Amino acid sequence: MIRSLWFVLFFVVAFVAQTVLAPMIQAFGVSPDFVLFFIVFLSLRHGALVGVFWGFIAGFTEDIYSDVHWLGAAALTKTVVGFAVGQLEEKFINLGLVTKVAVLGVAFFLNDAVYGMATGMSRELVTQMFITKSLPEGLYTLALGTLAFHFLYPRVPRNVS
Amino acid sequence: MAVLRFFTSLFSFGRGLFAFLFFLGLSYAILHSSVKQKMVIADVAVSTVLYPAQIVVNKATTWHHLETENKQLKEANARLRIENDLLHQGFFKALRVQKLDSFGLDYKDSALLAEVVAKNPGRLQTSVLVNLGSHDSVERNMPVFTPDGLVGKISKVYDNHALVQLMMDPQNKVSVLENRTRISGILESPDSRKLFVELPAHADVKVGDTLVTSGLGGIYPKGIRVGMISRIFPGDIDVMKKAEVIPFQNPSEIEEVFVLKKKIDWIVREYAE
Repeated sequence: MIRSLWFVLFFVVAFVAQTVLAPMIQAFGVSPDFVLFFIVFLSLRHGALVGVFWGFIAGFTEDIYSDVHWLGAAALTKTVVGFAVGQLEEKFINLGLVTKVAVLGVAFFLNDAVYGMATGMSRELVTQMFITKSLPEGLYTLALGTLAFHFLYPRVPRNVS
Repeated sequence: MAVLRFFTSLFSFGRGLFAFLFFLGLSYAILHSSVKQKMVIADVAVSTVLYPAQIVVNKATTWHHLETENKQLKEANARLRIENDLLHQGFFKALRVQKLDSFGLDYKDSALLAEVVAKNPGRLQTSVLVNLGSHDSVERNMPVFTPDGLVGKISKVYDNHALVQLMMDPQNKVSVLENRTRISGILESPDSRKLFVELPAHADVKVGDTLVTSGLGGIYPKGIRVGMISRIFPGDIDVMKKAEVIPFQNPSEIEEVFVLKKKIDWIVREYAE
C-alpha cells in the first residue's frame, strides 16, 4: 500500500516536472521527457506489471491533455514501453549505469516509433520526427537520465534471483 | 482482499504478460472508439480520477507563473523607478538651468555653463571637477560662481575637465567688500570647514551684513555675492577683527556652475611673474 502511494507521488512529481520544469530547462526548443524516465525507472526497478500499469496511466494522462482524436495512442505506447523495459527488471538481471542509460535511450525511440504507428503517421513523417524531435529530445533525456540514475538509484544493487 | 490478490496474481502471470495484453487491448479499444466516445471518456477521466492531479499541476503552474510575473514586475518596477528618478533629475536640472540662464544674461558672452562631474569624496571638500576644459577655452584662475554666489576659481585645467578650487580651500584667499560699509577684507578658510573674513578693527560691521568680491585681487570681478556675516570676534592682533561668514552658495550643493572667461588682471599677472 505504501509502495503504491510512493508510485502515485512519483507519478505526480514526474508530471509536474514535465509541465513546469521541462519548459524552464528547454534549450533550443528541446526539452527532456520526465514521464518516460518515470516509466523506465519504475519498470526497471519493479518489473513489467508495475511498468505496464503506470505506463498505461501515464500515457492515458498524456492523452487527456492532447488532441481527443488520438485518445489512447500514448496509453498504448507507454504500455508497450513499460512492458518491454519491465522484462529487464533488476530482480532478474543486474544492470550497470551504462546499460540503464542505453535502455532509456532504446525506450525513448521505441516510444516515438510506436506512437507514430499508433497515430498512423507516414514513414516520411516518422523519419522527420525522429531527426528533428526524437533525437535531440532523446539525447537531452539521456543526459538527465544518466544523472538521475546515478544519484536517485540506491547504490546497493538488488539481489538477482 | 482475496479479489485483489487474485487480480495481482493474474496480472503478474508471464512476467506481466496478461497485464500487458489487458492494457494494450484497453488502449487499442480507446484509440479506435468514436470521437464522441473518446470525448465522454476524456470528460469522465478529467472530472474524476485526474482532477486531483490536475489541481496539483495547476497549482505548480500557477506558482511558476506567479514567480515569473513577480520577477517581471520587479524588473518593471526598477526600470520605472530609474525613469522616474531621471525625470525628476531632469526637471530640477531644467529649473536650475533656467535660473542660471536668466542670471547669466549679464555674462552672456563671457560665462560658460559647466556641470560638476565629480566631488572630493573626503570629509573636507576643497575642490570639485567640472566638465569643461582647455578645449572649451577654460583657463587657470578663471572665477567660478552660481546665481547664489561665489564658488571658487579654476586651479587646474585638463583637456575636457577642470578642477575648481573652492572658497573652503585654505590655499584660496579672496578679497571681499562689505556691502554696507564698503570696507574690504580678506576671506579665507583656515580649517576647510568655516569661512572667516579679516577686517580692520574700526570697521562698523554687524551680524547680517553681506560680502561681495572687491575686484582687488585681480582674479574675481567686483560684485559677486560671497556670504553673510554670522559672528564677529576680536582678531589675532589688536588692529584687526574677525568675522565668521556663511557662504551664499553651499559648496556641497553645487551641481551646475558658471565659469567666467576672464583673464587674470595684467597688473596681478605681472606681479605674480
